[in-house]
Amino acid sequence: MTFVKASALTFSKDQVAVGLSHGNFGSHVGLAFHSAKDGVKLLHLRFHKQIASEDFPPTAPCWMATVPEIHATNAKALVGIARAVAKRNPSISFGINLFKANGAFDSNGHYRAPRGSDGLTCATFIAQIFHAAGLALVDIKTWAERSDDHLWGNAVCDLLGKVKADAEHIAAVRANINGIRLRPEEVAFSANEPSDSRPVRFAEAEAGGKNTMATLSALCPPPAPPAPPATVSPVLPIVSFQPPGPSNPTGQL
Amino acid sequence: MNSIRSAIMSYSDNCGSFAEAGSHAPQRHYAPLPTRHATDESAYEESADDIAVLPGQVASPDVLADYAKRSMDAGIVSKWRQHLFSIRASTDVDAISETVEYVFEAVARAGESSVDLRGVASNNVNAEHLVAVLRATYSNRHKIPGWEHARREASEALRLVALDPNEVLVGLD
Repeated sequence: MTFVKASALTFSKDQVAVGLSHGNFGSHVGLAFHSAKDGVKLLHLRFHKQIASEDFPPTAPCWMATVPEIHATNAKALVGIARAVAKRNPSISFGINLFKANGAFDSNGHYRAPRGSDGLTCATFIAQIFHAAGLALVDIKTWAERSDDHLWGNAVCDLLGKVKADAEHIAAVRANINGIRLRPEEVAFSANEPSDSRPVRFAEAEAGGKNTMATLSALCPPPAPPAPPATVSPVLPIVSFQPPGPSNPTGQL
Repeated sequence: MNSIRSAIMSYSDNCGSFAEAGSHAPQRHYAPLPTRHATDESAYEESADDIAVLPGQVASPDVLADYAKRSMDAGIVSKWRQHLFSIRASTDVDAISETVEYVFEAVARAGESSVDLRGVASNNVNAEHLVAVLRATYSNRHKIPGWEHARREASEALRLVALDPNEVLVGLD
């Protein structure tokens, strides 16, 4: 399977799809599935305590998507788990500690932050749903530090402040800045790999993630960056730091 | 609400039957229950289990509510078996999703021990629903009674329906 524009993607009720779009931190990832009664949904973690389950494909922004190669029996179980998670509409803090996030979904379908976890990102949210089903996309223990992702950690803390997250939570996230990040495009790349290549290790995911971003830009040209307001933090040039809201209705991070 | 109402009705029916049966049975003498008022909260120190309700006596609202809740919970907690132990059950995504949801509900209401897989055998289960149960409980598999046993039985159950266990059970080791 290859990535196509989400608007051109068709997939059956007993399959899932993984979608990728541009986002305020570079890219943003979500999981699409057929709900029991409400059509096709896209489940994603927009940002701090903002789970979204919206119609798929979204009208805006542009998304691309792929249908992961998963045995039909397993894909049906994964759809069941995705439906259950969406139904429970969990409140999930946006947090960056990758290693502590493992095991975030309990065997009752609820999100429960593991000990030491500060929350999930859009990427770890999707990775953890697959992990809960025993269908891990990535081999998290191989993930390594990247200098860019120290900047990303600081940018997350800045934005948590803008959405008025608890000071205690922001401090916990700041203490976890270590440059280790599972990027959304790496989740999408891993989902698109043959099933016998998963879970994907860091080196392959990093290289594949770059190609996946190139594919995204070809299918969905990146939006023009908004004129920087005076208060913009200079840490990440591609980041606009607009919290989800009227001026940033998609709110994708 | 309807299920609570029906549970209460069924409870009242049982009380009636018991009273009728009692008229033909040898006479028994029960110690009288202490006099209580339903509104006297401080009087209810025992759990509902400890309070007998005899023919002709009205159960307290607490007893009825507890009975209704336990009846409802017991029904929900056992629903995950519905498709699992039905070899001819539908295996479409909606049926599989129901099994996943029922497993989650059972665990939420009664803990992991309520999804007891020790009785699973390759020839008495629906293989695809078993895979759904195994995957839904994978994150806490060490707390599920018989999970490893069911995982082993799943291999043969899948073979019986011409599915490759090596492909289907990937990641569950």
